[in-house]
Amino acid sequence: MAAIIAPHCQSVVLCDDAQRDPDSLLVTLHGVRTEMVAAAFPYSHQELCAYLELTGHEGTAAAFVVAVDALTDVEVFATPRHEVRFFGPLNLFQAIFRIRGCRFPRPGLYWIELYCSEQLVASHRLLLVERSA
Amino acid sequence: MSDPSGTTGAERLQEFDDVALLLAPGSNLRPDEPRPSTFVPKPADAHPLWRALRERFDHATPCAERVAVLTEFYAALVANVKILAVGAKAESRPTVPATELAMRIGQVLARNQAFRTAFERLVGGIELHAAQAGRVYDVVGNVVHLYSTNATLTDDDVVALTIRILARRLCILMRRALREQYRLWFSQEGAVVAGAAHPEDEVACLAVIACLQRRREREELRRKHGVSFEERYQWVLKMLADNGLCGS
Repeated sequence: MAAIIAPHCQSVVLCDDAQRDPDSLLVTLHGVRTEMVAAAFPYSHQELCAYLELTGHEGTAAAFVVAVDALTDVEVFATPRHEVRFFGPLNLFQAIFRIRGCRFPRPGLYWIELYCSEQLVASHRLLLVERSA
Repeated sequence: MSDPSGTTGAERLQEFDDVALLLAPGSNLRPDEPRPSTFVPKPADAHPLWRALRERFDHATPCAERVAVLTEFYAALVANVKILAVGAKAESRPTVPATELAMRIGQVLARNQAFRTAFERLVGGIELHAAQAGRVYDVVGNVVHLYSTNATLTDDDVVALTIRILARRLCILMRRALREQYRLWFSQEGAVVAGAAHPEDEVACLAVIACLQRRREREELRRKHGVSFEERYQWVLKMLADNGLCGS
């Protein structure tokens, strides 16, 4: 029988910042976005935040985020791998990836993808638009 | 704040601060995803249904026709499924432990080669859990979760449950195939894809609609959700065909 068990992504939100209140544990997302506007390309975005909710079988996985140019399927930037811990399929796991210095070579559609244990578990679109100020 | 897993809310949230690693052209961080065909290996003594499926699957053009093959097989699986009415009047009924449920599913599989083959190919494992209100089973990835239940399950119920588990697992695989197909399609068209389908959707076609973000179709499908599967299935096939995803 197959042994590969991929975590399941319940939600993905791209935003400018995500803050968690240490007392209430509430997470507040700021600047939720599905698109970015830049005056010129290549464009470097100061910080992109990916908020994820996942479930998975108890255990750990190496997770990383990668941005892919949808037109060419070329990877443009990524995060290092991080170990994440899952507590079971019925327990939600939240992750916030803050990625600084995101460089987009040209306007168009990009995929922000999350990989866990070498498996694609989430994919979210991000449209880069060129518009003069 | 703790839950049955013994974890706290703080433990269940992790934050990572990174500087983006700018990748040179040709970098390949992403692993090659397994092709859909990997989940239907060819057993020497496969049931004719599986042999036919596999043959058609192998010769289908990725991945629109594969979706059609899977959709058809899904229809065959679900065509005679009874809906399990469990949970009602739970207090007055004896408990069926998850272990017994697993054993009875095993008996169903032992009696039916097609089920057994399907189960072995599609299901990676079974996990047993204590009773949880309203739950009999979950399918997460390739693992089936069985819960103890306060319901009397006849043999027919267990057969139906087995089929539903297989169908659910197949839906997960179909969703994956659909997602890939639509991703490719939309990339080519330069259009926009919304988020993934709801994980609990039993009707894989909902994934198509969710991807398409077409409100009218979604509403139409929802309206049809309560009617016969055959009607729903034909509608899905037509919609797939209308969108060039399978032969009409």
